[in-house]
Amino acid sequence: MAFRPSKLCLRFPQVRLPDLSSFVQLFCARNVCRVAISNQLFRFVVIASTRDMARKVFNSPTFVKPCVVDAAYKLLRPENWVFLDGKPHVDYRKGLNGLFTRQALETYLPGQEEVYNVYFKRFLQVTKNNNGKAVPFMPEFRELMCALSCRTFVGHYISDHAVKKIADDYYLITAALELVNFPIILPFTKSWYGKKAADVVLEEFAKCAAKSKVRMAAGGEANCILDRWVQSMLASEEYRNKVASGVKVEDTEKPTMLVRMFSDLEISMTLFTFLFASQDATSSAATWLFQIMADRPEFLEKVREENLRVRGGDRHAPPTMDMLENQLPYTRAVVKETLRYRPPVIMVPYIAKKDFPITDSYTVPKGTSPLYAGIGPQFGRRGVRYNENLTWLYRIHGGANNLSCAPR
Amino acid sequence: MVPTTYLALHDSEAYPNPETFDPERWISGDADKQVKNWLVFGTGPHYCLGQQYAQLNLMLMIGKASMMLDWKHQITDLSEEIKVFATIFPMVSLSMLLQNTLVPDGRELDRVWCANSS
Repeated sequence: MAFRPSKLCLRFPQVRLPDLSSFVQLFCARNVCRVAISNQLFRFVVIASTRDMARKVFNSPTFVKPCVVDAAYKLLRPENWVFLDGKPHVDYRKGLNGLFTRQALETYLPGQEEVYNVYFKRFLQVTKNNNGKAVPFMPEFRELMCALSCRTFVGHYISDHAVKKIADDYYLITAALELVNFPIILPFTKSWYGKKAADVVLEEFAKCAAKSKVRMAAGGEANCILDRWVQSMLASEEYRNKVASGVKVEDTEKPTMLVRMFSDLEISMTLFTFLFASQDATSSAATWLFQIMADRPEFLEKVREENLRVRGGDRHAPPTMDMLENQLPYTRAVVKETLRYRPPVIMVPYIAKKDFPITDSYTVPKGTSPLYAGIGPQFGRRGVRYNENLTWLYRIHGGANNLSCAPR
Repeated sequence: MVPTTYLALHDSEAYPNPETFDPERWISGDADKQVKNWLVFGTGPHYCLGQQYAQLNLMLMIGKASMMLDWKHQITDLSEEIKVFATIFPMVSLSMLLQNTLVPDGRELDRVWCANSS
């Protein structure tokens, strides 16, 4: 089905992000050129829409880095690891790899299973409470995904009540990070509400970190990402202490990854980036997955048959990594195809750190980014500006010869 | 700069009939070999750290849901149109309602019916 930029315009007249996405859609739909340039409002946006151009941007860390709206620094805190670039970023990331290994993922499965059991029952109750009438389920999927993420990231250190609050408020965070928001956080604006919601998350996760440090130091079993991370901090510290005190330590006893001891707030900020990365994307994927399966019951039936079969007909049998990785090819295919057919993230904002010769004939100027922070509020409420932009964009296509920097 | 993922994932050379939802391309087809086009989780130094986690988790979710629930959805012209709120969602909000039925092995299954609210 074709994209409909005009529909997007009507629904989201006041924000810039859909503007960008409809740029993208325009290029996707028309396949006009590989790189599009817009210099509206004296700032450049370069959309790298084809596979090879997109890959080139993703794979050119010397020239570009991911960028975010100004509000993101305030919500995630400026010292957050996600804002690191180059070697410090690579090094920090290495310390997190151990949290997502096969072995680690297996330990998170029981918690996830538990969340699904609770929420699927709740889904049924939602309909019962509405006397069997259809109700919108997207908010339910968002909450499910938030609960699932919290359980996986911080286990049972967080209360159900706090999970519910984070899930309820999370859309404020998403809204605050739209590209349009005013760069200064004024009371009662989207950024203000978003910042408050983000502070709640950071505070909750920091409390979890403190509890995990105590429990892991006492030799507790790790069953969430936080626990595993704290365990690796404690193991690293023990190793360093031994070495410092002159005790001979065998190479086999050296932790595979040496990490420093992070503060509760640092841990919290990092866990928040995990939530930030997962919440919107998995909510999107879950919504499409449920809808697509509903619309194509023959596929759902195969998923059901496969899942019952690998569990020997017992739908309460716990999942294993081996099951998920090797025994459910059809379920895997359905998930992969959903992600391909409706990729949750259709564009990723980057900023050019220096002039970036993306093709032989075009160099992206330093500073090129999709950000318009500070000019957003000027944009009309009825999408007038938007339409102008769109027309303007069509004009670019019409007069591509005038656009010296639009390689075909 | 905005690298986009959509075009690569709807590239007919990598994925024939890209506008068709077809899980078979991952079983009998060669979709798994199109690694250059698979930009769902980005690529390069900032690729998604949780990509394996996310995919296995979605498999667990839909697998469990298929066994515990059933659901339907009334298709409209806008069902598979795209709305953007940071990520993409169906244009028309998904709604559900439930009934009971039986799983293939004879146990009771809770049925979740979905319908469009508009």
